[in-house]
Amino acid sequence: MRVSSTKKSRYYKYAAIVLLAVFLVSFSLAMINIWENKNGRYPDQTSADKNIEYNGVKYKLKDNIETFVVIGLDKTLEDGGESDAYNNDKQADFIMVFVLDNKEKTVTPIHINRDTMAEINILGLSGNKVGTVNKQIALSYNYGNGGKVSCGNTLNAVSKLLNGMKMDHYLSVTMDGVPVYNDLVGGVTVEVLDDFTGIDDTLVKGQRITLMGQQALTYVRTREGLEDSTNLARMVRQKQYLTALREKTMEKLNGGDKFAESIFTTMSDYIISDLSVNRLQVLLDKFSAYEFTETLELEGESKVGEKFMEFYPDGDSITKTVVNAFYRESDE
Amino acid sequence: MKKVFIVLLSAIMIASLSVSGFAASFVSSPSGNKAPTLVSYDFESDQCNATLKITAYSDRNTLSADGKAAIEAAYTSIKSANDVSSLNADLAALATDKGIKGTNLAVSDLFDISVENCEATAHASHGKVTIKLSAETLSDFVGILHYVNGNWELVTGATVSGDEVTFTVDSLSPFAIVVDATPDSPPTKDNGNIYILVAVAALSLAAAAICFKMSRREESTN
Repeated sequence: MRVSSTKKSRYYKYAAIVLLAVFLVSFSLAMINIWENKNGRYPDQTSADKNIEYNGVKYKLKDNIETFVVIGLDKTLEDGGESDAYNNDKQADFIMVFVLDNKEKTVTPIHINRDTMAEINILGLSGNKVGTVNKQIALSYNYGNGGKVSCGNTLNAVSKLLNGMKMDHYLSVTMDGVPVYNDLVGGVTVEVLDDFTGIDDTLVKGQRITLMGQQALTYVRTREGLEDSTNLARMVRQKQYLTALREKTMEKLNGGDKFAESIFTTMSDYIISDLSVNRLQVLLDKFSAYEFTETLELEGESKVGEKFMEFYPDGDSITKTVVNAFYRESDE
Repeated sequence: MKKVFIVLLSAIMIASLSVSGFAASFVSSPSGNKAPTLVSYDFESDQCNATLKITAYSDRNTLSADGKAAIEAAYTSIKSANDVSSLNADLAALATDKGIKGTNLAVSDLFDISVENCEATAHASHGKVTIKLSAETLSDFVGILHYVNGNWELVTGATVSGDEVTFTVDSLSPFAIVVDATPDSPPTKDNGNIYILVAVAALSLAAAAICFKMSRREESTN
């Protein structure tokens, strides 16, 4: 049956409209590409390789993963939140990257030593990058307004450290938020790993105690005055505390007494995040449902630089950590 | 002999205590610099016994009311400028000479330098002072701007050596370090994407034109 001229005309018109749409989309994308090439405005986070080979084995970047970085600050709420200056004196004293594999339903924590020597963006008056400097990654938070801009700068530094892996979201918390959350979960029980005599005599080495209030902050924060005053030793306690804290949190969440809501209402003053409350809730649900794998840490060498401690992570350890957290063996 | 042995043993014990003391020594955490660091300064007048002080923008509340007002005005003028080179014509010319687009200039530091401990009756004025600062962003240094009575002036003759900059001025107030913040060249990207997109755009436009023409022909056949 022959198609009438009217219908043919209509089909040609539809085809033309579709082709015009294709033209507009491809033209726009080409213009964006050309503009980006001209202005160098690629995202500062270097793109990670989708396919790599490590120790003779081929790996492929996992899809459906997201990263969430928790930053513990060395200042209290009183020291102010976001400032109206382009730099500040807060530091990222604690950095933990959570890599969520939404396909396998796992969470892999990566604990980053605050003394890790890393390439950090220096931010100018307008919050834009004006240079780079190599120093302790904790200082990445100094640049920026002490709030979201600084959080972004720390994420950028962590991304560069971890071979360009994208850091999606963040949550920073002031140090006085630690005892508040600690008590919200009803206290956290640990076996005291270090001798706190003279610092807090209630923390007796070898004893199993439930940390309450300021004890919790003392336990995870103190270095000075301890036999081993390095950040590495502190990280051991922090890892121990966090494991126990997570267990208490899960208990409370599964208790069904609107605990999640109480977290946000109690902690809102102490935290800064790029996620809304609803999205934090979604993340919390994932943390609750997913299986946690072993916490990864970069291996390397710690030494005292001119004045301060410097940790130099081993290149192979970085690659191994990144492969473990972000890649799976390739089928090819 | 016994006495020598006891003295030697005591010395060894004292030394071992010292070693354990060293092993327990605390290494404090580093802190960032909110402003360039003052390395040295030299007043032209040998009668001037003043000291200089650098105040970071974030610490402006420690300045006098006038000092605070000046640095805040300086900050506002920088933030409201779409193009840093528009703050001063000499800076714009300098950027052009260096082949830097005005829009790629950025202020990396804003700080106040002021005089302290000067007995005002000791001399008529401080005269010129040569200042050396260290800062983190000097590898891309372009110039120093000086905020004087509500206007920006380019400090001439500023020289950079490593991470230090030296300049001479005859008055003190807010200063800003201007750097070349031209974004890094993007990583070598596979430009094949652009060619494919352009080809698809061209082909789809040509095909759309043909379809419209065919459509009209069919209409006219009717």
